[in-house]
Amino acid sequence: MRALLFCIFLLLVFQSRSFGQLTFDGRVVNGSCTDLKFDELVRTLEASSDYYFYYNKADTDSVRITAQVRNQPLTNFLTEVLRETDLKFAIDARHHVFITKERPIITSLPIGVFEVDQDVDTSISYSFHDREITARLLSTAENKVYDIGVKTYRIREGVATVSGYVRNIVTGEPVVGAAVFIEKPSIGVATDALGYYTLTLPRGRHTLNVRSVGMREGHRQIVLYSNGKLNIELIENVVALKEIQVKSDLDATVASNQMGVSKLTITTMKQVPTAFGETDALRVVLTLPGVKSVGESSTGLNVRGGSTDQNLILFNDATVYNPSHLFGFFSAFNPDILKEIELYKSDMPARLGGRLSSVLDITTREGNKKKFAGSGGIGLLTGRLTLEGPLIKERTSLMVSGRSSYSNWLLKQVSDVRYNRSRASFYDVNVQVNHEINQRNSLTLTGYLSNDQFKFNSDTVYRYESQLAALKWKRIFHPKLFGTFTASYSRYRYDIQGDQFPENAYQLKFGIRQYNVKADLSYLPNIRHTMDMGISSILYQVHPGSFFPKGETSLVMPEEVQPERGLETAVYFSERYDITPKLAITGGLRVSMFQYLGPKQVAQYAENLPFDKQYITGFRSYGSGAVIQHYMGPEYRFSLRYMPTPTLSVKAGFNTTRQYIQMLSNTAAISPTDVWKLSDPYLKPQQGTQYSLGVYKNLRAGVIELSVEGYYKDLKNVLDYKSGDSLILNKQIETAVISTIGQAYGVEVLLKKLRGKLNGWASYTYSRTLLRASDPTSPDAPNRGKFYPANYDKPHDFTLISNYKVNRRLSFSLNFTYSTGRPYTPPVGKYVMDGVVRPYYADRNQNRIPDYIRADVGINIEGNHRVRKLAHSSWTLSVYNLLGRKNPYSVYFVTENGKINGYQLSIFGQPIPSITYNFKF
Amino acid sequence: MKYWGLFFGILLVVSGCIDPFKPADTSLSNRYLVVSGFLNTGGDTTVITLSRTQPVNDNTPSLVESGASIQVGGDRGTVHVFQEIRPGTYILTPRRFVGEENLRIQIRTRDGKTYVSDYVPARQSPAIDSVTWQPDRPNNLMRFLVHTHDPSNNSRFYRWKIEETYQYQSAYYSGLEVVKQEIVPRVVDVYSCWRTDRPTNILIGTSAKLSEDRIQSFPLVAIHNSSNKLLVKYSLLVKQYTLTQAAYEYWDMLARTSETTGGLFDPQPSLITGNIRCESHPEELAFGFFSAGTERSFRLTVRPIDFNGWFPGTYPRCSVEPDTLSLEESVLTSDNGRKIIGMLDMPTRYLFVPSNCADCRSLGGSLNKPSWF
Repeated sequence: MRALLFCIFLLLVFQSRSFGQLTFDGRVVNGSCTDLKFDELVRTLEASSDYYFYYNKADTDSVRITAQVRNQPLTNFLTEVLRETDLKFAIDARHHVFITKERPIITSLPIGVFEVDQDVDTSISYSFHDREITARLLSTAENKVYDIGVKTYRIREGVATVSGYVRNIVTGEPVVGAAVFIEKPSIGVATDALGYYTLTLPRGRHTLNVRSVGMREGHRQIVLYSNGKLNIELIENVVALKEIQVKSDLDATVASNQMGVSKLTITTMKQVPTAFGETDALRVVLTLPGVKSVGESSTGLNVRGGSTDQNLILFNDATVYNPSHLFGFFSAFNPDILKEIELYKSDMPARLGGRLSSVLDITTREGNKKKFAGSGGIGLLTGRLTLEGPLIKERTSLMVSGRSSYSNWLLKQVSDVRYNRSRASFYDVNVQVNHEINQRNSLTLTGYLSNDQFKFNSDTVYRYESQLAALKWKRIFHPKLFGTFTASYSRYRYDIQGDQFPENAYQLKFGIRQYNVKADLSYLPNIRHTMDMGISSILYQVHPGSFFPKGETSLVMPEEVQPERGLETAVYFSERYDITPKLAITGGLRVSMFQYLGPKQVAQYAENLPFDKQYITGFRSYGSGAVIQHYMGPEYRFSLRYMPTPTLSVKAGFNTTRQYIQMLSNTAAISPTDVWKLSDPYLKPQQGTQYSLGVYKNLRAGVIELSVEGYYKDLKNVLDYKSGDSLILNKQIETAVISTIGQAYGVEVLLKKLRGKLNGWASYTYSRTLLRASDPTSPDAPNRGKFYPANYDKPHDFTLISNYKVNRRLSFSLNFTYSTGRPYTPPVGKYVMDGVVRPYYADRNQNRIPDYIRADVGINIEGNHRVRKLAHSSWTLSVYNLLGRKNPYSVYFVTENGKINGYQLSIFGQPIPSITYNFKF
Repeated sequence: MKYWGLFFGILLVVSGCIDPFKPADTSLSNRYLVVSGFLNTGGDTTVITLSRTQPVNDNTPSLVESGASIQVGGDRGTVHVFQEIRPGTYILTPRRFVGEENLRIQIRTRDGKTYVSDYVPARQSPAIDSVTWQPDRPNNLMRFLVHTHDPSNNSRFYRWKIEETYQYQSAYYSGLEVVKQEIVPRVVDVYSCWRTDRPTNILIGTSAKLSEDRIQSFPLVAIHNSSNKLLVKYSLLVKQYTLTQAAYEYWDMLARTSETTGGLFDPQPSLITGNIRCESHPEELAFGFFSAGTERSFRLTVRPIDFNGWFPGTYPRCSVEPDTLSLEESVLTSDNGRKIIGMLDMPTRYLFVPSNCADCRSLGGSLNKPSWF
C-alpha cells in the first residue's frame, strides 16, 4: 500500500500541472481554490512542507475542493474540506497524514501502555459498524477495482452488461439464487441454476454486492466500460457448518413475480426437530402453509386441497413415485446431500406440469470439486455417510452417499420371539457426478436407489423399491441464452410375498417405469424480458399387477393384469415482462397431450349404462403402439405483480393444469400398495384451475416478512373409490372408481422472521376441500351426490417453527402445530345380523377426530469452530411430541358385547426423545 | 442391553396406542329393516329374522319386526311362504327345491312397504375334508384349521360358522352344601360344566385365485392357553356354506368395515347394505344379504392327550385362600355365595371358597352335558 502510494506520489511529482491558489507553510493554510482535485491539493500541501500524505486514490478521485482559508491550521483545514465526504484523516508526530474512509487511523498507542506496573486500559477504541467492513478491508479481491469490458479513457453514456458465475471459493460449486445487486440505483438479479448472473447497469463505477445463504456477503468494485465478464467467488460461512442459518430470502418474496412458492434450504430443514432425530425434508414441507397430510406417519402431501398423487416430486428432475421409507415414518431423501427444496403451490412455472396441485422440486448439492470430504450421522435407528471429492480437480466431482436403518439388526438381537421374527429395514443410495466441460457446459449425472422391506410378526413380506437416474446437461449458448437438457428414468415397484401356508403362497407385484426427456431454454433479450420455452416427453409403462404362485406346492393361479403404456408430451412458452419496475407480468402456455398406447384389450360397455362388469359387451383389441385414446389440452399460467413500494407487493395468478396419471387408493394414508393408473378411454385426465391473490410486505427493513395468500381451486375428473371395491389386481378399474369434482379454497397467512438470533416462521391457514361425484345422480355417488369434505380437509391449521441461536455453537428449536382433526365417517346406527351387532355407516366424512396439537423441541450443539481440525461434529438432541399428547391418527368402531365402542389410534402417544451425532470432514 | 430397552421403548411407541373414543352420537333416527338368515335348501328348516336398526348408543334389545309376510320366490314360478313362529322370527319348513332355480326373498312389512332381494342361485357346498389343529408355541395359541375342496371347481367362495363346545372344571370340588342351615352331601355336582360359544366374526375364504378349488389350512379359531377351553375336552362344530361371489364380497366388506377398520392401511368404512332393497320406497335402506344353499358340517373333538405333549392351558386356580369357618358360622352361609370344599376335624370346621372357585356355572357353562358330547 505504502509502496503503491509512493509510486503514485512519484508520478504526481513528475507530472507538472498548475496548482491551486493555496499556500501551506507547515503550520497554517492560506488562500482559496475552486473545484480543486484532491490529489492536486495534496501536491500543493506537500510541495511546501514536510507533510506526507497517504491515501487511496480510488477513495478520493471524486473529491473536489472549493475553499477560502486564512491562517487555518492544517487539522482545521482538513476537517473543513473533508466535512462533506466520508473521508477521515489522522496526522502522526512525524507529519504523516493518513486519509481513510469512514474511520480515522489511530496514530498513537494508549497512554501508559509501556509502564509495566500500571494497570491501564490498553484497548483502543477502533470500532467499525460491523464485521463486514473489516472483512472488506481484509479481502484484497474486494479492494481491487475490476475493469469490465474494453477500457476506454472516457466512459461513454448508456448501459452495459456484466455477467459471470458466482461460485463457492472452497468447493467451486456454483452458488444458485445468490442476489447480485448494486444499491444506487437499485438494480439486481439472482444467479440461475448454474450460478450465472447477467446484470445490465449504467456504465461507470459501481460496487457489486453479492449475497447468498450460508455465504459471506461479497463485494466487488467495478468500473463498467462495456459488456464483459466477472466471476465472483464467495467464502462460505464456515462457522455455521452450513447448519445453523435460516435462509433469508431477503426481499425475494416481495419482489419476485411468483406466488405460492416456498423455498427451504437444508439449513432450515435441519433445525426442525423430528421424531427420530434425523432431518426429514418432507416433514418440514408439511409445516408450510397450505400443505397438509392425513396423519402423522404419512408423508403424502395434500397441497391446497389436492390429493396426494397430485404432486410432482422431482429429485434432481427425476420423478419420485414413493417419497417415503417404512410406510411413511421416514422420508426417502438423505439430508446430507440435499441442497434445497422448492414447493410450487399455485404459480407453477410453464416448464413444469403433469400434476394438478404442486411441484416439489428437490435438488441435491454438488460434490466437492476441490478436495475430498465426507459427512455423516448416526441416529437411533439410522446411520448415513456421504463421501465426495474431485475426480478431476476443479472440474469433476463425485459424491456417493448411503443411508440405512439398522433396526432389522436390532430386532434380531431381541430374545423375545414375538419380535425377533419381525423385520423392518430400508436403505437408500445416491451417486452423483458433476462435470464442468467448460465455462459454458456442465453435466450432472444422478443415480438413486431406495429399498424397503417390512415383515412384522407375520408371514407376509412387503418390499418396495424406487430407482431413479437423471442426466442433465446445462449449456450457455450466449450470455443471454441458456439451455438445460435432461434425460431421466424412474422406476417404482413393490411386491408382497405371503407364505403362511404353502398351498396359498403367493407373490403380488406392481411396477411403473417412466422415461423422460426434456429440453428447456431461457432467453433474456434484455433486462425487462425473460423467455422460457421447451419441450418434454414422458413414456410410461405400468404393470398394474401380477399374482404368482410361490414355491412348488402353491396352488395359486398365475394372474396378470395387462400392462399399460402411455406417452405424455408437452411444449411450453412463457414470458416475463417487467412493464415498469413496479409492474411485471408473466404469461405462459403449456400444451400437453397424452396418448394411451396398445397393445391392450379394452372392455366395451353397453351404451347408457354405468361402467359395471355386468354391462361389458366385449373387448376391443389394439395392437402394439396403436393409439387407443388421445387427449390434448392447453394449460395457462398467468401471474401479475404490482409493487407500489419496494416493501409491498400485490400478486395475482391464474393457472390451469392437467394430469394423466393417478394413484388409486382406498386407504386413508398413502400405502405402498397403492396402484398407479394412466388415463384411458374411461378415466379422463384430471384437470385443475386455480385463482390466487396475495399481498406481501416486508417489515423492519426486510427482517420480517408478512404475506397473505388466498386461493380458489376447481378440480375435475379426480378419482375416488366406490364403496367396497377392490383396486388391486382389478382388470376393469373403471368399474371400481367414480369420477369426482373438487372444490378447494383457503387463506394462508405467513409471518416470517428472516434474520437475527431468533428466527423462524408462524403460519395460519384456513382452508376447505370438498368433493362430490361428477355425476350426482349415479347410484354409486357418495353422500347421495352432495359435496363432502375430503379426508385431508382440516380447516384450521397453525404452525410455529422457531430457532433461537444462543451463540454460534448452541441453538434451540421449538415447533408447535395445531390443526383441526381430520374428518371421519361416523357410524349412524347399528343392527343385529346373524346374532351379531354391527354398526353401519352412511355419509362419508361427517365428523371430525379430536384436534391435533403437538410441540417439539430440539437442541443443536456444534463442536468447536477451528477451521483446521479432523472433523466438524455436532449433536442434535430432540424431543418430539413434548406434551406427550395422544393425537389420534384415526378412530374406528368395533362391536364388543353387543355394544359399539369407539377407539382412537394414536401413533406417537408420548414424548419421543432422540439423539443424533453428525460429523463432517 | 440398554440400547435394546431404548429401542423397544421406541418400537412400542411407534406401534401406537389405542384409547377409547366417545364421540357425540350422530345416529340417524331412521329405523331400517334388517333381514338376517339364510335359505337352507338342503332339507333343513330355514329361519329368517326381521329386525330394525337402532341408534348406536341405544342399548335396548333390537326391535323385532313382527306381522310381516315373507315368501321366497323362484324365477320359474315356485313360491314358498314363511310362517312367523314368534315375533320377528319366521320359518320355512324343510322342503325340496328345484335344483337350477334362482331364488329371491320378498317381504311385506306391517306398514305396507315391500322389500325384495336379487335373485340368487342355490349353492351346494362340498363336504369339509377335515378340521385340524396346529399349536403356535411362541404365542401360546392352538389354531384350528379347516380344509376343503370342490372337485367340480364350482364352489370357490366359502363361509364358515363355528360352534365351540367344551367341558371345563372348577378349581375345587365341592361335595357338601348348606341346605336350610344344614350341611348335607351335594345333590347336584357343580364341578364340571359344558359350555357352547358361537364366535361371531365373519369367516370367509376363497380359492378364486388358485388353480384348484381347494382351501387348505384356513384358520377358523385360535385358542389362547389362558382360556383353558382345551383343558378337559373340546369339540368344534364347523358349518360350511358356499357363497356366490357377490355374497363373498358382501361379507368381506362387512367384516372389513365392522371388524378391522382404523388401522393405518385399512379401507375407510362405507355404507354396506346387501342385496335387499325396498321396492316401494327406493330411498329407504334395507340391510341383509339373501343367500340360498346347503350346509355341510364337521365336528372335531379333542382332548389334551391328543396334542402330543402340548399342554393346552393351566390347571384352574382360585385367587383367594380358602376361608375356615366353624360349624355354627358355616350353617349360616348361603350356598349361592360360597361353597364348602372341605372339612376339618376337632373341632369341626369347614373350608369355604367363593362360588366362582367351585361352581363351574359361575363361568357361564351349564351342568347339562350335551347328549353327543
